[in-house]
Amino acid sequence: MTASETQETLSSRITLLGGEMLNWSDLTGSSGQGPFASPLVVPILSQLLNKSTTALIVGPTAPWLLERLSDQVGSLDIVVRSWPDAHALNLRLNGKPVRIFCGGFEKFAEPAGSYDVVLAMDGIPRVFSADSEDLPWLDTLHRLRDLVKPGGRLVLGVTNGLGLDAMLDADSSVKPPTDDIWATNSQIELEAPAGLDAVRAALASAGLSTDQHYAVYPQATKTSLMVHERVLSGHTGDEVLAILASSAFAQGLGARPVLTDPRRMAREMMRHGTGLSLAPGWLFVTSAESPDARPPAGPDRGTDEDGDFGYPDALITDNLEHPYWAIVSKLSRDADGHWQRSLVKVGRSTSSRASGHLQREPSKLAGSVPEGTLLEEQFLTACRHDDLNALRRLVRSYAQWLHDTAELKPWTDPWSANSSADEQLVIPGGAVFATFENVMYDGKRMAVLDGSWNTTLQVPYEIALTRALRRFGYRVLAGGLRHPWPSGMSPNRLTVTLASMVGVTVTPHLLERSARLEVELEGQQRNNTEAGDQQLYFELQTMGEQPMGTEPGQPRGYREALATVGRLSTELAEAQSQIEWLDMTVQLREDQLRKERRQAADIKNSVSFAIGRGVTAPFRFLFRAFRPIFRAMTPGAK
Amino acid sequence: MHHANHFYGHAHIMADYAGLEYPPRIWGYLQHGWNILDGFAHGTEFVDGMPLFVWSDGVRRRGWSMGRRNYYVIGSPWSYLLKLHPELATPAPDAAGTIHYPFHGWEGQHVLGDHGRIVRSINEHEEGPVTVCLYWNEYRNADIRHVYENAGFRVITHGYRGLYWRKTDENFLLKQLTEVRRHKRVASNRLSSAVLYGASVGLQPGVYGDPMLLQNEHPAFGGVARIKRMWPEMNLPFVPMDVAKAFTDTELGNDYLASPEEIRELFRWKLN
Repeated sequence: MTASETQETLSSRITLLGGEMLNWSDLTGSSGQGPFASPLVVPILSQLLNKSTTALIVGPTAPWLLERLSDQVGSLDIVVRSWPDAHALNLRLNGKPVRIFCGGFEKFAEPAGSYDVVLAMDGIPRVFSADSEDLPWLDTLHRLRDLVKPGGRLVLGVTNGLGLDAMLDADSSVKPPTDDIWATNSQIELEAPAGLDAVRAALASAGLSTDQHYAVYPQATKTSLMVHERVLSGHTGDEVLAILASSAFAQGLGARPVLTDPRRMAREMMRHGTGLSLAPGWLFVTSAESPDARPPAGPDRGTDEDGDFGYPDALITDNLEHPYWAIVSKLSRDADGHWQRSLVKVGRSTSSRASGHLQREPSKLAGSVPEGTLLEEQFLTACRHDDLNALRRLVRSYAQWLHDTAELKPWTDPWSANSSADEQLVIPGGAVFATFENVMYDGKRMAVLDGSWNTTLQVPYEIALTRALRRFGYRVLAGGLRHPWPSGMSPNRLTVTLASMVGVTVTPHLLERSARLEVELEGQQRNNTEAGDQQLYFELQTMGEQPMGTEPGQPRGYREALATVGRLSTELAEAQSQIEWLDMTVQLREDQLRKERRQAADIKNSVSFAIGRGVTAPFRFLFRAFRPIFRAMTPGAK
Repeated sequence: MHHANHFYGHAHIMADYAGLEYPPRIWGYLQHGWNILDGFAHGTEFVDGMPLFVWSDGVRRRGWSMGRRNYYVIGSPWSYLLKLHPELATPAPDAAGTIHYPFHGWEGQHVLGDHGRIVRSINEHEEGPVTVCLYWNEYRNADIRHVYENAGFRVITHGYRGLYWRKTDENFLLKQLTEVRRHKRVASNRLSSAVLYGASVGLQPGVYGDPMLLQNEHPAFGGVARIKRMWPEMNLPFVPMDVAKAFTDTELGNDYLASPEEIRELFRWKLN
């Protein structure tokens, strides 16, 4: 019996392989962690595909990505394990040169050497269904390799078991295993070999030579940053990479419980030169060895803008959750360590966007990445060292720089019913986004890191400054990071403290206006609804007043939580000793008072006191009798 | 616990194995037939946190992916029955011919199909004497019985599987084993528990003919087509013995059998 006889072809392009999952969907994310989705692989894969390519893609992959890839190839075969997914793709990819195979990959029976390119960006483990017989990772790799024509390409995603995301995640090991982590055979290794060296050896043993190798962040399947291996190996302390990784992790890990602050750890990973070994995943572009001379691999480096795209040093996108605002760009580092940024067109990623008061012009992102260190990092370092003097210097430099951009203009408060204009120092729209996490400072000059954002709102200098300071306040306190102030500090209190260093008095009105500004900008970016905007405003207004670190769920990191507990314990002990001291003082006073009272009583009970009372009795009687008259004579008395 | 635990005398077999005279309630749900989904009939109402005792690991994984937990793979009661009756370890001396199990429904779901076509398919594939084993409700239907009797087949039933703890034929599976031992081949129009049971003791299995439709079969099970895609090698009129052995070992969970002590522990049973 041939395999095709065992397969049932429906009236559509779907071939059921067997073991298809009927009550499951990887694409909607309702049953697991969602499909592989990243616009960053598009420019990489585009170089491998052309209209005559026969391609196969295995594992859960985002439908929009499949649609894009299916437009670039001669034919595309897709293997998914979920029947609802197969059905949805069949409808979505209508009219494209696509065949869909649904079921466990071990039953996929296309003959060896069928494809020019095999894509497994999601990696290997999720190609199998709950009905599949467990196959070791290495065996599956060999099977994928076999499907590639000699000289063809295999693109493989590999999840790093010791990736930074896995290490930081405080959730997965605590909560009960989810539906997608069904029991497997403990004797068979479904995951990739442990460590990068082992993975490389496995690829080599399968007869695959690695042409390109990228480290991906912040998650293997949700990639917003890809850095080429040649950049990561042998380099340390790259500030730009540290910033990119830090913001990728900040956006990617969202509000999940973590073991320690992901932004800091991502930064340290890059600073310590461990970006490659601690990457959450790797993407390998490999070639199946051919008996003939292998076709030359693509150019090793990105060349000029108009020429071949090549394989750039790094690719980055943002706003994966809110793709309307996303920009895709590539970065390259020259011999001196300076980074150049240029835009990459994936869909409408290079066109300008606007919504409400918010605007984004991708073209402003292109060019040299500013030199220096992230301003926020300099603030945090000063906080960590309790260096108030440095903090003062930094706040003053920042405020001065922001002040210099402002000009005196008539300004109408957009959030007030009163439409009268008064003269205010108003800053340009772009400068509103110059908050600490978006400013580079080399000790002399400040520059905006991502200058693509703009707003049509007229924002006075003091509101913008208040907003920037409060954002930093949240960063420090929500992250549970060390700072020189008492632990009962609220973001608003911290804002007042920092602003006082530059002589700005932050009033409740100013805080309220900065919250409204935040809602206009953040709310629009998150594509919030009216209710969402109100919620954000409410949170900013109430949480801003609350001491952070004491609320449930704050801070998110376990390490910071421990530090907060330690700090609170110290302060509690201090408060306890203060209470004891007060108690002792009160006791001392009590004793003294008792002594005085005893003395008074002794006097009252003495014979001489009784004689004295007797002698003065007539005067007292007279005084009481004439008291109303005395009162009337006293001015002001009733 | 759930009344399906007592179907086919399963609870009685487990009690016998665990050293008890009569089965107390099982603390959990016991899979009562070969199953291609989560181990239980569609619509079974589960009490949260109760253990689910299933035959094979595949059932556990599928169930897990559907959100069920607390699975314990312990193998099938049939496999325990084989341990309890070593005297039936070998075929009867006069073993011959084929025992055929037309796919059965139950009181609530009837199968829709033509028994005459089954007779024709049996005549096509079988050479020796044929015994047709009908389920209780079909056996009571004289019309159905006559179709097979008129074809010259011996027609039997193993008994009533029971409902709501009542009228369970405690020796259902023992009767089946004894009967199976008197044949050399086991066949059905659907891959089903009976074929697995027969094949597991060395009868040569065969699956052929109109698979018939089960009334109101729930689509979550995927129907016969899904079974055929999953195990094409088992859906043949003459299945090779080594293929059948591997399949029945896996699906009946023969590598997962627990000791009597462990069964008592899992089911929360105490020796009298």
